Amino acid sequence: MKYAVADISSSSLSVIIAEKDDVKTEITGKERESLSLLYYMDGDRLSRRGTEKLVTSLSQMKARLAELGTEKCWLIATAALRHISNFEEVTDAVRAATGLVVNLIDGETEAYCDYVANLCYSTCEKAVLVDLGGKSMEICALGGDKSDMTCFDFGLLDLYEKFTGRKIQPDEDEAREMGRYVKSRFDKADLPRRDVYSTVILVGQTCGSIYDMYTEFTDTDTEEGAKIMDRKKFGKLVKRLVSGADRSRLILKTAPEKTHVILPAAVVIKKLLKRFDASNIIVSDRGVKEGYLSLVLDGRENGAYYDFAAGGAKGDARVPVTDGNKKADEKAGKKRPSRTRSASEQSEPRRRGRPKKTADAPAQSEPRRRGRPKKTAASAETAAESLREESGADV
Amino acid sequence: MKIGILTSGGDCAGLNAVIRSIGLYCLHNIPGAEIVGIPDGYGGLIRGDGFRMQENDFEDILDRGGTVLGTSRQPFKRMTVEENGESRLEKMCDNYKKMGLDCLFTLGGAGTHKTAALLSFEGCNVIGLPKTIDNDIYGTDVTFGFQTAVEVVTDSIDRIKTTVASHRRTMLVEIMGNKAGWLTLHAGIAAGADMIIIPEIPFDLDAVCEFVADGRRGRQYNVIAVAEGATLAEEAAYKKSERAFARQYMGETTVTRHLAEVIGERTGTETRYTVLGYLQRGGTPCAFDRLLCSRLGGVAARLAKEGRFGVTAAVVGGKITFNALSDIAGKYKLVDPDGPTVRFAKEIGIGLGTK
Repeated sequence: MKYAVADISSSSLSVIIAEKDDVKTEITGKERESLSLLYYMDGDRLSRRGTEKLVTSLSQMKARLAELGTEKCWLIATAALRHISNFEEVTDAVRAATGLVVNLIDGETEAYCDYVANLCYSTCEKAVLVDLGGKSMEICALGGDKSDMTCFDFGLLDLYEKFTGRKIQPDEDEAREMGRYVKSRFDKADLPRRDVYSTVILVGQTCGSIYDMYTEFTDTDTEEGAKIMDRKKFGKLVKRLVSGADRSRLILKTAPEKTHVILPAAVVIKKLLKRFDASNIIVSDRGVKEGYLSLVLDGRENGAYYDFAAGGAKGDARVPVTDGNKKADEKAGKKRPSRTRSASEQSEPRRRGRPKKTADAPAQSEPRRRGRPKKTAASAETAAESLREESGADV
Repeated sequence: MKIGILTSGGDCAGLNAVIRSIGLYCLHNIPGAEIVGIPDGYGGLIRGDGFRMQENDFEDILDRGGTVLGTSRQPFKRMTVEENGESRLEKMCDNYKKMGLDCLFTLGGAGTHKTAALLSFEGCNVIGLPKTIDNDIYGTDVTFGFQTAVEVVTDSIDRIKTTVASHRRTMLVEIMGNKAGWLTLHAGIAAGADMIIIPEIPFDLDAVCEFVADGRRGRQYNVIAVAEGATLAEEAAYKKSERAFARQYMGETTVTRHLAEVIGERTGTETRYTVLGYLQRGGTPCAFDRLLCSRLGGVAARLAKEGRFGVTAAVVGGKITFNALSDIAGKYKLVDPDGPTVRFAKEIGIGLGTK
């Protein structure tokens, strides 16, 4: 069986393809296309052009997956898409044009997916996973009884917006301010200090881009072996990114779609390394997609998928817990499973260990649909129709 | 709003039509708009040169070839290299501020777009416009200047054909296009070339000679359209610098002359070659390009009015729209060897230089 998981982030559309037999599941392919959604925003809405770009990229990706003989494809999106105000309009257009249904992944599920995908690193000494997203950040201990997750409700794009002035890349003062803010948030969340973690596993596409930049900067051979960064050399890279004359060229060459977030990511990583006093830095090539696939194949996670044989979507879209749908569920007498606390919930004691489901969660024979009301086919068609009508005009 | 316009890289037909469209749109639709022409491309911005353009500066330039602003080539590689303590990029950013610009339109090809992306990363409000006869800018179906060049090359091949037919020769026509073979492919098909050789499909010398010797098209003459970036199959694995070194050693910059000699020797046919060169860039834009340039310029100016920067105007599915510079900078749109145009060419018996 051939499966795929595609992920829409703020800067790209990426997909993994996996083959599963009776014994194992093996990742056989990866693809990524840059999609700088930030440039296609109208305020907090994704513009018509942005929706078109997304739909086009997804259609092309779907066609390639079909050529490769993929049987099922799950489409997921994390915080970047969750934060746009016309989310439903966009997902309706995506569904109408491609048949793909977007499964929204909340911060804590993202962290858990990262955790599952990177369990192979649990043998590393005092390892901690770090996933830096545009609108959220997840830090999660690996292995032993130190397992822990902390989800921060701010991300790299928030740092960029908060601290960067006229230039897209912050100057030295702005980077310093950014670092101070990040440190204060880490302090507030009571993030462990030295001697707790000695190996930092960096997860996610932005961290992957940081590594690409690191190899370019240090002229490291990327052909084989683990992706490891030297802390001293990484520090030099951060310095170059903050004040080097050629920093924009370096970004353009290695991660043009990450231009808004690459320096905030470097600042956050530097602060974390200093806080943990970690000397080992590994950049993982496994993340939320791999973890999600593993969980859905095990039946531990749910979500709608595209069935290539049937030519349509099956199952209900995954919708994360929000304050709104939480209240609605509470009214209806439903209880939600909880994985971990948010960094902003300071009054509650920190939960350690793998997140557990509440015992009194109602047993369900089918995956439960949460949050947003289910869209009817008619509304999806209306969205597609409106996109088609508008596409006749320039811009 | 103070709006700068510059044209960078090699010239092509339609630059003035875009300048005119941007200027007129801004003057008519953006209250208090001031247009600043920056001479000689990025060179002018590095020096901090600029002059105010009035409405009458845009009169009578719609059909004029070249660029009224002048242009120059500023290698992308040199942009971030420090010279006397300051890089060209820093100088451009400083001058952008000193000139009080709120927005900068950069009309150019792939290299220009890369530099535009750098300027955008450093905080300048940049909007790109896709200019090149190579048609190789990623994310746009067509670039302005391309269609005019196709017409010029097609007309040139038509003229060459009459001579070739009269003398029963094989003629190689070298056409611009170092990385991308769009111009050669389109003009070659339009002019009825017997064989088309493009960089995306490295050619086999034996296959080319066999094709000519066979007189596969049933004629006693052959016209072969060769892109200047065409490479031998044996050279395909070489790096660009290695290939350039090998060519330099042979006293050549392109493969066309060598190919003509080999065809002549091996097939016994009288073989000549001609390089169209700068003919392909110059002259008045065709009606298609005039309309395209006017629409592209208008839409780009509207993007400025809306405050959408860090983007480049594009044609997608016949519609004028935009792409983020960060999504397209550094990428090229090349001919797909398995794509529909190549497939069609093969289907009607045009040789592609392969077995």
